[in-house]
Amino acid sequence: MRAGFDEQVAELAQEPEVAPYPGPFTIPVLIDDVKQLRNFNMTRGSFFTIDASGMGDDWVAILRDQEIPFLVLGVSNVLHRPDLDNLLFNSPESIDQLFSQIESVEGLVVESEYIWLPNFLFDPYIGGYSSQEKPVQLERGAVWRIGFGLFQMAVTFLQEVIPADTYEERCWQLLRGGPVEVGYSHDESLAFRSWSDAQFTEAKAHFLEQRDDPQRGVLDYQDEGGRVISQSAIRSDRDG
Amino acid sequence: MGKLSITLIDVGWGDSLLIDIEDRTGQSHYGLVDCNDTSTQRSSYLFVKRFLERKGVDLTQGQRIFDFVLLTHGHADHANGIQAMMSNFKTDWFWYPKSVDFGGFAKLISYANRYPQKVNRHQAIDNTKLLPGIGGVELSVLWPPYVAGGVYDPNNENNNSIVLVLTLDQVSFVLSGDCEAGNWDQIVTEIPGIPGLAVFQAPHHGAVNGVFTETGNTPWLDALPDGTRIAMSSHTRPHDHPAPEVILELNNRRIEPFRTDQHYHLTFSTDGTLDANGQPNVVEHWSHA
Repeated sequence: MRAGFDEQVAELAQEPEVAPYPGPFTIPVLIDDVKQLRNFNMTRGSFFTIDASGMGDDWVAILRDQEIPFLVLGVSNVLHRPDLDNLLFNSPESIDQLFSQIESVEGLVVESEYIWLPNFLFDPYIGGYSSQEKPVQLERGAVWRIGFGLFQMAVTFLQEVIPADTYEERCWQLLRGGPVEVGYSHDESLAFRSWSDAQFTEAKAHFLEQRDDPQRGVLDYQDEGGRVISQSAIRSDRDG
Repeated sequence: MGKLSITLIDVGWGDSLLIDIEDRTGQSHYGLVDCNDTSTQRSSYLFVKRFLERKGVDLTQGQRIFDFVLLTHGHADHANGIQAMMSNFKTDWFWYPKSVDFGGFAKLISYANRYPQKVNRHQAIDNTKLLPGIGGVELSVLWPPYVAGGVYDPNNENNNSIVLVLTLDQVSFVLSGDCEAGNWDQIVTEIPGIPGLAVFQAPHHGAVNGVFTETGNTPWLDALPDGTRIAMSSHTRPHDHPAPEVILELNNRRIEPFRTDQHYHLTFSTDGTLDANGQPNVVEHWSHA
């Protein structure tokens, strides 16, 4: 464990709104794929953005207490908290509410994008912080928060501005000097899993509606005996 | 006579394939398999938009462009930007496999649930599902198998990849997502039944685990008919896709793959006929070498 780790965490814990993460600007990253290859040990993580494909009006940016009106055209914004009052996505409702609110505006959609992060950043003995008693496995769907400095560097790597070895070296430097840059976010992991489950549950309900709608319908399938079964004609929800 | 074209769009790391079908009446039908766009890099969107404009499609009317959009599996380098594509171009069908729980994939499902005006209908598919023919082209699913109440492989999303066959009359193309080599022992039993297999997309961008099983076997490579063109959505950064071992194996078999990292956008077209030697009539085209 690197020197000062516990002290840093303890210090951060004094700031209740921020702890255990490195600062107010941390980004929730959902683990997508963990690569452990001979010459490539990185994890792909997704984050959510607001993508503005069209132009909107009545937008105001608050920059250093000054309100600046602007028009939206093709910008991308990284989502990092549900609202000004909450730092973390602690419930599926907070996720759903934010996404719905954004997409209720014509021309705005919530998209997901990804970055690569060196696996060693998640190692509890090197860089990855977790408040859990047991070591946290790097698993698909879990949420980790990463510092904005690291995030910026990861984007630079994704855009092929810096090569992998430079990126990894800079991550090591970041670990040597600064506060914790990567932290497992237990509550957000639960919240995003619960939110995902709700979407799949909704899809199943949607499937039944679709099946019963003569204008739309669902696919037929073939059973093990090779018989063609029309799902529109049966009442079971074999699949969704 | 109809025409089937598939284009492997160079999206860097990741996959995106445009399906262009011209039916016997000359009417066009479009499909999209995967996407890897971000808010700042819209390779797939720009390719499709320019392609449609060149074909004289009026995009100002907001009509539905795609007959289907298919997500092979729920990994970000195949799923990013699909929502924007469906939002911009609308689709009749959105197909995807049952997938391991993941917020990014769930966001796509959420979008499909909520915006029927953009996504007319959507459904998880597997190799028991019967896909509709589109413009004279038959679509069939070789993988994944149906699993009651769950996903095929809860531990490796690649293995849930949809493997799709597109057949126009006597010629077929196979698109394989990231379906790893270990699954192909089962899948290859279907290959002899595929008419005129002419183009095969190497699984997982030519990664080692897309070609070699854990015991070093190469099931799909061994099963392909001689002369089958092998295409890859490839990119060598952040790491080698295709892997040097795969290129070596192909070289040993005297196969020269078509690669998006070398050929840029890659298009294969067929009219569904065979030549005098019984080989599929296929034309390759790429933007630059």
